[in-house]
Amino acid sequence: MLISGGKDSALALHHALVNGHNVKYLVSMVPQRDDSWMFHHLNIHLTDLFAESTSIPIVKQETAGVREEELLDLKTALSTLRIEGVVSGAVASTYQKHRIEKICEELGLKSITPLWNRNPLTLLKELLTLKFKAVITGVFAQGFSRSWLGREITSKVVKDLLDLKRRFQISLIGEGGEYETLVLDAPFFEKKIDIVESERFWKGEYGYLLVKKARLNEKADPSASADIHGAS
Amino acid sequence: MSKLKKITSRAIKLMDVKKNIRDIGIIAHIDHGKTTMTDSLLTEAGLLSPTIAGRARVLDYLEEEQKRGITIKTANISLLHEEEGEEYLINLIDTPGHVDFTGKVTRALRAIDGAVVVVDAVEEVMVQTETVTRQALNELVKPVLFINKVDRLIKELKLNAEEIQVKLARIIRDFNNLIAVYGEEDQKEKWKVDPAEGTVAFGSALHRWGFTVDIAKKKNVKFSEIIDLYKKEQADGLVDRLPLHEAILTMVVKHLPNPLEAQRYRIPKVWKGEIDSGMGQAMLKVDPEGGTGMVITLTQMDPHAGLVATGRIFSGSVKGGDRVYLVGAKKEYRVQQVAMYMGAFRVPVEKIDAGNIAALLGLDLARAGETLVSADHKDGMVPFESITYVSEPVITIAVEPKRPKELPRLIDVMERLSIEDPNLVTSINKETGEYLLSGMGELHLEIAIKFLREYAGGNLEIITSKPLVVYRESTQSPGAVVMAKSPNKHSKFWIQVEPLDDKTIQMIEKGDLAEQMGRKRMGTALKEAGWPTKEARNIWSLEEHRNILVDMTKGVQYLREVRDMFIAGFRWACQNGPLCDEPIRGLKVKLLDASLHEDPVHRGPAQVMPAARRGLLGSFLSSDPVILEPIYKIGVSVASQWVGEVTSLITRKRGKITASEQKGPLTSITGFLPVSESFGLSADMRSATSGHAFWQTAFDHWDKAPASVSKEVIAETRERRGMSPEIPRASKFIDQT
Repeated sequence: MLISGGKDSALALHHALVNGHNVKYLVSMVPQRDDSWMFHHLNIHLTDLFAESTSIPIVKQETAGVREEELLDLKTALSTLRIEGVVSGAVASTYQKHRIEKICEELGLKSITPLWNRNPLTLLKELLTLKFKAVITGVFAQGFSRSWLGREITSKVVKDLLDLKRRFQISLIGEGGEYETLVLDAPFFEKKIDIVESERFWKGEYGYLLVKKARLNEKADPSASADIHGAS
Repeated sequence: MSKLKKITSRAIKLMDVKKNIRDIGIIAHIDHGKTTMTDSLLTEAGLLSPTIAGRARVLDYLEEEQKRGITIKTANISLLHEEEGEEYLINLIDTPGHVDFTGKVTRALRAIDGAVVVVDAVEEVMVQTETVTRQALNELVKPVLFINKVDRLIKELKLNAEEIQVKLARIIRDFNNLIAVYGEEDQKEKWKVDPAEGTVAFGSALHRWGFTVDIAKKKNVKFSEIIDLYKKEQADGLVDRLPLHEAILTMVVKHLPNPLEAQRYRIPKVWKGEIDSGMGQAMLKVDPEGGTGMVITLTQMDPHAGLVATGRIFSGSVKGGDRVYLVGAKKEYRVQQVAMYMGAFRVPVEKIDAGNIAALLGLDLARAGETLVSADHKDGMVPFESITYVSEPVITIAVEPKRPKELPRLIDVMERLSIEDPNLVTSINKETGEYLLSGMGELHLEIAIKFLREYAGGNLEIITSKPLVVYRESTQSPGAVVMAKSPNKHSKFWIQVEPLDDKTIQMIEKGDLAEQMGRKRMGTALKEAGWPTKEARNIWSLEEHRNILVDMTKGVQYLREVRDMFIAGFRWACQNGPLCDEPIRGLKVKLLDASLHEDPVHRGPAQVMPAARRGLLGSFLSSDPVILEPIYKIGVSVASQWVGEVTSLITRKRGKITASEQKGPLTSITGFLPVSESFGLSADMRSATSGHAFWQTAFDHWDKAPASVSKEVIAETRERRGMSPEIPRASKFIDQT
């Protein structure tokens, strides 16, 4: 299972588990550049907590994040594992899907994309119904502002995203890299992630929320929730 | 109304006889007697009784115009004239003379083929005479000359016959100089006026007499006789011997072109489509059976009828119920009513066809400059090139209602006013609560405020700020080649800006380079102007503030798919410069290279637009940008003893004197004056000359503001707009690979 810690890979993982796949490893690619065409860069260090809360072992592979070369790094990582297929959270990006399919073909693996071609609005609604807790950690498109950083995906946020889609033709689920998320809780999480300390950066047209400190807490424990909106 | 009806029905019959139609205008410097002359023509047309002509000023039908004694809105009228046994239909457009309303003159010119230029014999050729004549020549409108107020030379200046002749000869010489300077190659010789040929008339509009050399000869009237009559105070009979309308209308019929002649050379100038196409040929030949092609030159809100759109039909015809298409607004309409003008009256008629002026009801989105075609010809119709205005709105005031709850009403009337007057720019910023009106001068704005109050029913109290000058941001040297990434970092653009050369800017201002020409023809025009082929052939966009976007990339994949998004980002950046949020002007923006994400979802408008803007602003800021301030051309006419005072007043206000010429007892001084220094000039001029100076200002050009001024402008504007005091650094907009 390819995992970034964001909502798409988390939702794909949920579907894989529900469909009875035996998810043996979480594979996390760690790019060294901020402009990778393939992999999530922001807060990638938090995939450790993600893995811990799901009790699935994690395999991390560093990559330079240089276009096309980064695919070799992914191939290397996958080739060391004894698996039958690769699950990914691709929804609409043919670029990502085709590249993963190619690697799978070369390694004799099956590519599984549970979210592929599904309606973005339905996917967002599904996240809400399944009570995923995902916060926006980065916005990279016209129309977003600083105040978006740290917002939890709620029906109000979905409504605001629809408005941006109408005005600036962004992809509703951020498939064009418009925004990135971090999943703090999911149906398959044994514990939830709480952000303890974070910092917001705003660069004029884009910005991100860097999580500096986070920890796992029992799901039932309400006292441990941190107020990330207060962070600056 | 029965008389009006009779005339109208004769006019309708004549609409089909193209060679007997003249679409003309009367243009002049303010107060040179245009409206008075028009009234005198109306008398002959039977639309005004002879006794009140000269005082009634029928065309000045707005209350505001009557009160101020000047014409503000363009009015239209049709008259009939018989010449050598044939009847002619003369469609006449009256235009305002005050420079602040030059925009309306420009629009009216698109509808006409010929113009009578009125020049005051006492004041001679003035700043505005030059401006309107230049505009007319630019639209290929042929001028003839009427020298008015000759009576004043005799009665007030008490000149003798010889002195009068010298003065008149000087006016004709100056006027022909304008034609030589501003005329097109093909016309400048042919269009020079000459009393011997009958293209110059002399007279007094107030006393309703006038003559051409030919008429005077025929009627055996000598100039010395006219002088004698005035001296003996027996000039009253002149109106019967030398009626003004006869002199003017004869000149119009004999020397100004009919639509068949005029459209042959005007269509290729004012319309940038393919001349060999069906529409092109129909317009060239004034074909009433061809597809309808019309340009809207004036729109007004009628409280009862709604929007009235007036314009010139170049081909085809318009009937009530016709389905028409507005090319600019991209909207189809059914024409509710077709009407022609008779002074203040709009007379509904069944149909108006090619070569005539028509008023149409029911086209809500029509605006001055809009192109109208019959709905079945809408595909591929090239719009008329947007009318280029010589003047620009350079002064702004902020307005707000005294009672905040009346804000919706204010917004409502502001929107209506901006529909009627495209030279008045209204901007409503709901976020900052700033409601701005930009116009061509103090008077223009003063009148606009007056209209706002009236449209609101007279009981809307409006608070206005002191006038502010509009500035531009520009550069004088090339900026660095910068790379800008899309917000998601997946696409990269390499961009460089440099100053656009003056020659190209002039081509745009003259209308010789317009986006409507299409890429190919813009390329040809630019190549002729000396641009390297590679750049000339790849113009992506030409923005309203004279900025050009050139694509200089080679074989970049997917670039075509993001082209429109990149252009949108370019336009966005040009609207709000980084120095103080004023528009950027005169920039050549070169897209040198790009690298794009191959997947369309990763390169939508929300990615490409901000990247285009970042790169443009980054390179611009690295280029040593400057503030441009608007400069007026100023013309002062004053008795010789005050020349020193006037000169030092203008110089004190950072102005420059360019010429000073003795014209009889008066000296005419011309020069330049920054618009920002013109506030309160009335009072200063009055006190410097004890009220003896006549003066006019008209927007002339943009010029680099001195460093001290520019610093102040940036600081003040940023503060007013709630921006941080520091100009952002270029590095804020530049990305590293």
